[in-house]
Amino acid sequence: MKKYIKIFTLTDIIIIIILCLLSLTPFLYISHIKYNKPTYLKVTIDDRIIRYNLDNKIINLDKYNKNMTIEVKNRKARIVKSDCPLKLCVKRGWIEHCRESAICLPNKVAIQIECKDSDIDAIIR
Amino acid sequence: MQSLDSNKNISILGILTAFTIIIGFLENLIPLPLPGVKLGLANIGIMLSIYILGFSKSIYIAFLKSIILSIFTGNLIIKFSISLPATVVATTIMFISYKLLKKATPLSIGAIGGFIHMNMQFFVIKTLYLKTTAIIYLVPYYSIISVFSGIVTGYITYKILKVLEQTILSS
Repeated sequence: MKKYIKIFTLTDIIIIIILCLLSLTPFLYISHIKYNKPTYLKVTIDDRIIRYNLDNKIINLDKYNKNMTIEVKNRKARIVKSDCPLKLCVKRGWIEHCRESAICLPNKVAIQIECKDSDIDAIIR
Repeated sequence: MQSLDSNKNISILGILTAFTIIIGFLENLIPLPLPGVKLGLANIGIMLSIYILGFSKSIYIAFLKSIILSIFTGNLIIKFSISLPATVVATTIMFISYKLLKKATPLSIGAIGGFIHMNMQFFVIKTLYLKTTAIIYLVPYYSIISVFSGIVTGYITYKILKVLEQTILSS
């Protein structure tokens, strides 16, 4: 191992460190731009689709004959209460990123975070 | 390096060009985890020519490599338009840094070459094909990888140069 390290001169090590730092600089720029901002909370009840904005609120689904409560806080959403047997949707916890979802199959209710589309669909090679 | 007579020079130019093209074709067969990443082994031939033959012949090799490789590997226009500026700029900057930094070994020259090549490709793709800033998400990972693969090719070049100094170039 020592034999391989000895090849590097001091100039080499400095150059390589500078190059590594240079390649990390785009991260500074990335932190300023935000793509795909979460914009809506899409709630699907049976066949009906309802969109809410992401302001703090508590949504009660009693008027749609579902015994469930959804909480929206700090641009995150979760299902607080549900009467389904396994409570998988409650255990899913907070959802905040694009296209994350929490689904309750017995009640036929799903919530999903929707985002405005960015200007590219996908990158394919 | 001492200057060689012209016959030897021309034959070495031919050998290095053939070597560059064949290695550049064969390295597509080496599987790597990320899509689109190559080891950049074709850079070995260009670095050898920078050390042995000098600037103008290295530019010949860079031209021939990008034209012939893009004919072989398909998708001629896109590959050619991406690879030609990247290869020529990387060769120029590698030669400048070889002249300026006397104490730099091929290891760091290769690292500089890989870094410049990768970033130039991204720049060309950004200006010609994908006109979005989203591409900048990929740049840091790819350029770190290119620095380290550049060190690997530089190490191989270093070993080859050592052998060449004892055999061909000393006679």
